[in-house]
Amino acid sequence: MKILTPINSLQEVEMLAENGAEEFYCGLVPEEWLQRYGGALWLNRRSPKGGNVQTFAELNALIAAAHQYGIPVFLTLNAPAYAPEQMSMVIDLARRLVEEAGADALIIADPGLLVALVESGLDAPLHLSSLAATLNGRAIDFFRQWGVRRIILPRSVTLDEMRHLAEAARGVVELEAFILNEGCAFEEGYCPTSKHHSVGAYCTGLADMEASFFTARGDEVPAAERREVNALLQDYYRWLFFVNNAGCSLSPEGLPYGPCGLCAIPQMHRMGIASLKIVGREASSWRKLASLRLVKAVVDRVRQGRPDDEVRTYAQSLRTPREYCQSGFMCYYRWW
Amino acid sequence: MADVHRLALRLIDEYFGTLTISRVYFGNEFCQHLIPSLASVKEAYGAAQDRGWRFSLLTPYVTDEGLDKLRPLFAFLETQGEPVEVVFNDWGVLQQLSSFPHLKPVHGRLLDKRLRDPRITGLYKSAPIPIRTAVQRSNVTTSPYLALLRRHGVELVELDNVMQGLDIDFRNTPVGVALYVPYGFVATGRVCMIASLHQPQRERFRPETKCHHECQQYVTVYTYARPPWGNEEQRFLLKGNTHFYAHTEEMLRFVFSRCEHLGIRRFIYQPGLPMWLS
Repeated sequence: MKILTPINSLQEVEMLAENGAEEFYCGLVPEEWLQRYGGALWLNRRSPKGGNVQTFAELNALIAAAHQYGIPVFLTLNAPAYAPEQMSMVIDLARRLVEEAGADALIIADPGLLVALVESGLDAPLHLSSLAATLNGRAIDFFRQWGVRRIILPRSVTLDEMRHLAEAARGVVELEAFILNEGCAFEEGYCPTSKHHSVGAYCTGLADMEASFFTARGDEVPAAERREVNALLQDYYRWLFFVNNAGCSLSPEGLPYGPCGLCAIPQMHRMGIASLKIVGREASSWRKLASLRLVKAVVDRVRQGRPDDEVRTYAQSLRTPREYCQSGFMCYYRWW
Repeated sequence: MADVHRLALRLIDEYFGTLTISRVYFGNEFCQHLIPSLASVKEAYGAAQDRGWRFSLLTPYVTDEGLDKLRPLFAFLETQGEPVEVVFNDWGVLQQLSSFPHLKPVHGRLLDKRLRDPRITGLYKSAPIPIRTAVQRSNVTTSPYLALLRRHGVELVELDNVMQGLDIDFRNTPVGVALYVPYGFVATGRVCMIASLHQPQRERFRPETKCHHECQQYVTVYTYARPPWGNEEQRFLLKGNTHFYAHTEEMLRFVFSRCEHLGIRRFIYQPGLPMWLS
């Protein structure tokens, strides 16, 4: 079980490698894309300037430096869909990322791109993004036919479901699971909304809208029920706050808030999950480092064979304030 | 909501004359808790046969538990006389359909992953041509995607009428296209807010929250407090786990007036928000 860490600059390699990163993922947006779309359309789910390596030269150096530590680097081409006129540019970029920069795998989501890359003969492992929404064993079979090496499980997969999927995938496909930072209120692969700065994420924006409840017949909800559903709504907005990284804040100890699966690492280790993904390509170097240390501290205890209860208690002790952790709203996987 | 139906039916009459129903869609695309029972599928299929309507079964994205619910439905439909359509919105469901060669797989609208965010439509309308074009076209029309569909015997693709407009031409493609009116979906997910209504706080907002079909009792209407792009008239409709938008007159006129040019083979009329418990 590896720790997969986001990275977006050469300067971060040494810091993250020395602190326990075992795999890196990052993105790069070529000049051609920027000239055509600016920041209005994102190539790889992150803002071109904020969440990506800026030049091919820097990417080449980043990958070379990572390889000196024995750390593979995966590149994101993970838009859920590329329009017809974008496809050739993306395929050219894929070839350049692999053949010139030395990327160790490509992370993709668009089934059309998957087929195009397979048929292009590009010699690179393909990792299937959580945006492809692989929720069942037959979907694993489907994508396995196309030579996918790794599948990134959606955040909504429960531990029980993950166990079944891990059995279906054993020996044929690696599985990667989210472990820290940033949730999704909806099923990520079925939420094709914008994160443009003018509107923010759709789920986040809900709290700024007026919500009115009606019966299925279109009548107003009676007053007693209205109180109940309005209380539910406020609770939902509180959950959304945690889903969206608790406002991207850090605890007084400098640790990141936001969705977390640390308690579930012992179970995921036994299932044979290949990789634990920390979210946050766009995060500051400090936030990346703090996230990595948090995950590594728990993974180390699992690797030492400590009992599950001890690991869970330790993991929860790292998440402060305690009431955030105990609310259950920060959990990717609620194991209780 | 009644307004959008009055509008849609008036425009259907204006463009196409008397409405004729040739096919019935049964099932649900958005939630595996709304997958119909085998008994209700049998009943609906029989009722459609009695009226001379063809039958399509809608299926949602599913976990293995959802797939288990679908298999008996497929097994029943597989044995019927004429090939029955099954609309898949999950690649695992398509894979499952390969075991039922008599069924006809149809690519559902949830797999059209093009950006579809009604909040920001105003931005796209005034955007430079490359941006506008990219969001009006669909990856479904790329040749590798079409090759994938052909390989799996898919002959029909369903799309939503997105608010930024459609720049598609299915006249010369190996697959046809069908379009839903008068609702499109914005986002859907396994966490259903209203299903948590009677749950203790720590059990709320989980994918595995026990469902009692609370979605059948409530609709939530979202309106803007601070519209970002002058779209203060927009409403978002939440039913169960899915947010929807209603089509405007401009959107309906666009597709009704250009259906031949766009290559639209079929319209699917939704007489309400498509979250029925069958």
